[in-house]
Amino acid sequence: MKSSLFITFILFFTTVSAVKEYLFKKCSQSGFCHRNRHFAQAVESDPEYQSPYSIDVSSLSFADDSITGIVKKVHGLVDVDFPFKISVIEGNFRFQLDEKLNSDVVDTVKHVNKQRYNETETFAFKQNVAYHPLTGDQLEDKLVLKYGDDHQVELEFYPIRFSFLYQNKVQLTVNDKQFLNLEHRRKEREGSTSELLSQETSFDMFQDSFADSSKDTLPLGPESMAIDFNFINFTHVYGIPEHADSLLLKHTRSKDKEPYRLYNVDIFEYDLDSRLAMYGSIPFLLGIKSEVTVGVYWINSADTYIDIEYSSSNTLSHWMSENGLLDFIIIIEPTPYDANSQYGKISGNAALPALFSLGYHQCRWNYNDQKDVLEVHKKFDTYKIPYDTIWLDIEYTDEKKYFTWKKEAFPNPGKMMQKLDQTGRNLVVIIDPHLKDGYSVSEEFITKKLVMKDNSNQAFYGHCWPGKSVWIDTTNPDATPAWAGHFAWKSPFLAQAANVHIWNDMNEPSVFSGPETVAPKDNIHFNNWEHRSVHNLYGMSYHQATYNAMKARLKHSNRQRPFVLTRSYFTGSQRTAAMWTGDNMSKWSYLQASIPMVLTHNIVNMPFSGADVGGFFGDPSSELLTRWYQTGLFYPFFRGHAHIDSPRREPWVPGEPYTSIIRDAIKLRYVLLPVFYTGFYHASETGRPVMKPMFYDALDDTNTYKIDDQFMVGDSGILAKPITEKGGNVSSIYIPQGQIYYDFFNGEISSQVFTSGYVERPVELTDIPMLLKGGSIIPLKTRYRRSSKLMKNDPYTLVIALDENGQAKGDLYIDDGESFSYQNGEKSYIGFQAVSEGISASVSVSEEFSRQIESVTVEKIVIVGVKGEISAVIIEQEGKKWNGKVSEKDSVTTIKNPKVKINSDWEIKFEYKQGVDHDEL
Amino acid sequence: MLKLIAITYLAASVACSIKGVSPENQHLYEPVIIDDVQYWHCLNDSSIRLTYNQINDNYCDCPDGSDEPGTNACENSKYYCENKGHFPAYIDSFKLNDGVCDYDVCCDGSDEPEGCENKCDVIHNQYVEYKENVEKFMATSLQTKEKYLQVAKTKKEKLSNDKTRLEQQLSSAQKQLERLRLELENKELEAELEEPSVYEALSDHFVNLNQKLQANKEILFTKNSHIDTLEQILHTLANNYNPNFNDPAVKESINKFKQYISNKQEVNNDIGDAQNVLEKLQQQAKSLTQGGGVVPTIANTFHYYYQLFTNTFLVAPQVPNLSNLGNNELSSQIDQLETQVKNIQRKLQEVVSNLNINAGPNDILRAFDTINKKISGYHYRISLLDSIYQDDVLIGRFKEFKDNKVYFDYGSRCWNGPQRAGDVEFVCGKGPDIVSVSEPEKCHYNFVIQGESWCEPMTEEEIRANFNIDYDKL
Repeated sequence: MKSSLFITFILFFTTVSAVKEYLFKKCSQSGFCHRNRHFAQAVESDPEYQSPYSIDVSSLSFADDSITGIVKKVHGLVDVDFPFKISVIEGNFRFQLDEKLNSDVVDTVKHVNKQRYNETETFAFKQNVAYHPLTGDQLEDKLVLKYGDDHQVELEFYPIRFSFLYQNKVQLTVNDKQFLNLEHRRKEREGSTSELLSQETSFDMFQDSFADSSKDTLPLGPESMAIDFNFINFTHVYGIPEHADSLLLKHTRSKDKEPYRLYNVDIFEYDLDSRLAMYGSIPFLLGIKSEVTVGVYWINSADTYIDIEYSSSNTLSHWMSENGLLDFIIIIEPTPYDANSQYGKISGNAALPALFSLGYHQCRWNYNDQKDVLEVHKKFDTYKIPYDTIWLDIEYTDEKKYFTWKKEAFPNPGKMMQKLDQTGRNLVVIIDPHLKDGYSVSEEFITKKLVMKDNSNQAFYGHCWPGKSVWIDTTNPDATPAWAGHFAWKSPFLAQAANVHIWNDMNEPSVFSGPETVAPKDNIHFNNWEHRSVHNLYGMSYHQATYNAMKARLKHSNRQRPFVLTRSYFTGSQRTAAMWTGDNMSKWSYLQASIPMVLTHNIVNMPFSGADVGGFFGDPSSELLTRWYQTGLFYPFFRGHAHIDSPRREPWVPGEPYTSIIRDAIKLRYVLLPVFYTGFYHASETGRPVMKPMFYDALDDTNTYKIDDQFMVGDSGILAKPITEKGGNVSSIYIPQGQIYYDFFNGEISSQVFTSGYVERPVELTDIPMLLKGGSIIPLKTRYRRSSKLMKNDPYTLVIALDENGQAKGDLYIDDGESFSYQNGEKSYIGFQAVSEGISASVSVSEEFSRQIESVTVEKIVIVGVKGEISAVIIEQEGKKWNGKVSEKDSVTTIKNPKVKINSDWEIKFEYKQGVDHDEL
Repeated sequence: MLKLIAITYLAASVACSIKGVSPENQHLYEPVIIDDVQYWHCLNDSSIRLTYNQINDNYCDCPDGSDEPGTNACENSKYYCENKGHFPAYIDSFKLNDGVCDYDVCCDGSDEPEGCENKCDVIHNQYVEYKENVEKFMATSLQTKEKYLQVAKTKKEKLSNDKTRLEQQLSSAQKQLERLRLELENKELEAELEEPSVYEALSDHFVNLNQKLQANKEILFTKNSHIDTLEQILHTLANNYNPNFNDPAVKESINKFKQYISNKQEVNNDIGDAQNVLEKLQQQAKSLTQGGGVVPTIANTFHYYYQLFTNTFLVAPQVPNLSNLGNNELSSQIDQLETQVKNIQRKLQEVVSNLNINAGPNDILRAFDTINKKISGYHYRISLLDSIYQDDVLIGRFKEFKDNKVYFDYGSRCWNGPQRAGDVEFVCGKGPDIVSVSEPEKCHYNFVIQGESWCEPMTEEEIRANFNIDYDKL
């Protein structure tokens, strides 16, 4: 009896805690990571280490915009050339290194493209990146290169070492620790280990001993590339998502710790505080200090591990990729904003989203049928909760065959879409990259040879939701037009509706029967590239194909901006998709983790991100659900979602008081929509974060460097710190040194001012702790409407929080929210400014768009921080002058209904009361 | 204040027409004139005085929203749509000037400043047609409903009659039983002189018991072999499933199977104990039939083992009748009567509990036999006061009627999920017919049954409220 109970408990606990880490490789189980970590360790502990790598001085060749040459690897019988190129891309230093292949080591491999993969940038970069001139001096032992105004690089020939200077100070050194390791191509043969340095190990060079991936044929043997980047006088580094981890990256470079891994996997029920790989990867690492930001942008789409080592003054990062080129870009700028802007110039900025997609999204696996969808839709109006989009997960299809409907459940999808459209609502349907074996779409892609192939060069079959499936190969340029055919405006599937958009899930690609839940690395793609080389960009290639297909489709409507949500992503994904943090759990800890995760995406130019509100797996308590809405309203992508096994949890399900509190949270999101949309405008122009870490505006206050439970909303000046603890009844917000904030709890301004340090106050379940930074002007739309589209004619409210000098600034971007006409100038950008004499708006708008917003006004201006008392206001617009109504209560000044139009400049002049009280209006 | 307003009514000769206010309420918006300036007060707060042009200036001044009947500035105000040719109506302010023609409220399109044509004529025609159909349908459906109510009533009456009849039967059977028992007692007293041996008395039971044991052993054997087969299937699954498949149901089931296997020894031991008792009892029974022994000891031993056996092994032990007097007529009559009483009690119990069920207004749920329909490839059978089946799978057994729904629970368990359950809602229409089946949460079903029995006479207001515009025909 006792012994059997004991066994039961052991089984129980092992299944609960180690969720399924065993499915994923640790560094020690991964051939190239194991070898590179071993190598770095050995080099570091060997004072006698003689690097086999040197720059061949005689090979150097100078052109206007590039320098080329050869890195030689020479030791024992090994003598391999690695041609390299130095250039300046959009003002940033780039180093690319390839391998000159020796024909006798590669000619036996069939089907496989033997070159090192060199097309990552084709997918990662925006079109037409510009290369700039660089000037260089060749000295005896090094090259000295200059670019831009303040940038200088010194490249030493032996041992190879890069020093990056900015404003005459060394900020970054590359290969400082001599971790450079270029595994040259070789055949597996007797004595192949003799090609190794004594610091190397031969672990898994020609085989994979990890059980789930042991079928990997590794046709090209070891081919990894690795190097170290040392951030000089930096002690804080960020970025390289996706991990369920803190905003500030952790120290990983020790034996008992795992490096950060970038390898897109379907990590089911992921653990928190983890360096394990997740669904997406963005190989961009940012070092932050008060005067300089340094970014390392690693252009490689293969399996990659990054070790981080903090020391007292510097931060070392060791990058290891399984194959491909050694290709990196160094971005050095005064602030993280500038670094984001530079990165955006290369990889592109986030697309300006359709306005509706910034509203609230209601999702569930699954809304079962047409009636279910329309009932949920109707209930939002019954409960007067705004929402913009309802979602359909996989069950809407006929047996998981994408581009089909389960007919008995959805007899007339077009009518359903039309019904949603009446009140500006949208539908998002899921379309995954696995295509069920044996139906017209999979057969079409097999016939057209547009599917991923296995290592024998035949169509690859694996398992996913529909059972046996093939996978579209969107790395093949021909796949996009074929894919677009299924989204055609006239195809019956989407019923010529302009309010239907697409969700791309499982695009890591998740293969239930595959190693580490994804496709085998020796699968073959377009151009005979191994899956190994393109793995991390596959998901992006897929959602890009969907985006392009939808863009072509929506040309037939007047709402041309597609919305695509993706689970897997890569650098460049921001141009075409939003992402979410995948399958989280209904636990407080996952609510807490969502904030640093979304912040991390925002600082690597992937602002359109969010976590499932409520948590995907499980059944949140009403309190947790409520707090999650109060947090989720700040996610750039705001969607409630639930697993099929979870009870229903739409906002009205928990009942009162929760439903009203959730309604208030969702309504607050809609009130803030102009702020979010303006934030996204800036993200799309200059790569600025929409949900922003505190340190961006407090680089001199290192206390902010670790904060990842409070944040700013874009550049609006709104600070939020949602309550994310069970029973949380105290809010404690940190105010950076030298800044002042006003109480803006729940979006309601008061004149109470807070200065540096922690502000504590008791909170109720109804409270959303928010502050507004002194010096800000924010535009709001406070009227309840059923959806964002229906807010179009509504007037704005301006909230002005003056700084110590009685001044404030803010802005507002407006366009039609759905078409691409803004690209032809049909838009409006308004700068607001407040000084002690009054307020002014400076409007830049096209004639045509000005007509479109002719009827939109400002209905109210609320000001805090006024010194003295404003007794009268004189308003002037388009040559007309009139008196406005002003009142003051509790030191909050309100200008009522100034009746200024939003489409042209205006000015409001203050007259101050001399002396004491006066009769208020 | 009232006086003041009354005075100004006389004073204000200007006829006003405030947008969003019904003609009968226009008088509330008469201005108050003081020093040649027109003023107005919020309707529910006369302390707030506005200049007259603040009415409908798209800025909310009155907490009750009364200053903005024609704009959406106040969240709580309502706008009056004249809807000429149809019915006037009030629309929530949030639907004003939002670009949506909310024809279901304002058929005249006046909720939008532009872009909404007046559709009152078309909509009114649709309404008239709808109303005629509803009234026509209502006329017949209420007759149908009457029939169903009659059926329900008859069924309930039958139950009540059954109850009375059964109660009478029970009472007479119980009396008869008492009489016979008394008679038997008397006879026993008479027969006490010649006592038969226990050995003799038990022999029939040994045979009986042996047969039962044998039968149970066979059942056990069959069941064990079924379990073996199932375990074999699960073993194959546990050994060969792909752990990479992200199917939580499979993973959890396999873990539970492993737990089950580790607990299995325990189960076998329990059965083993029972088997030991069985064997001992058999041996003892044999020795009793062969050798006899001291009479009271034999009886006690047998009783002990019998109890032990029945308690551990037999599912439904029967009370041993140790005072068996042989096959005389009296005791067999008593036996029969006892069975009869039990049967009547059971039936009575059923009838009473059935009668106690809340079967809806006027017991309407009683009117229906099983309602059948094939939907999405499944054959559904709904017996409103009993059970719901999806093909052969039990969705649930009747739990209760509450808030116009019938709830069913304790259905068969889902694969690694909860026990199935369901609820049934009713709508007025032609029926009875299952018009929809859905599974809003896993293994919890919702059914909608349409039928005349759920129709109520409708007032014109109700017909209007139920009317839905056919937008395709606008």
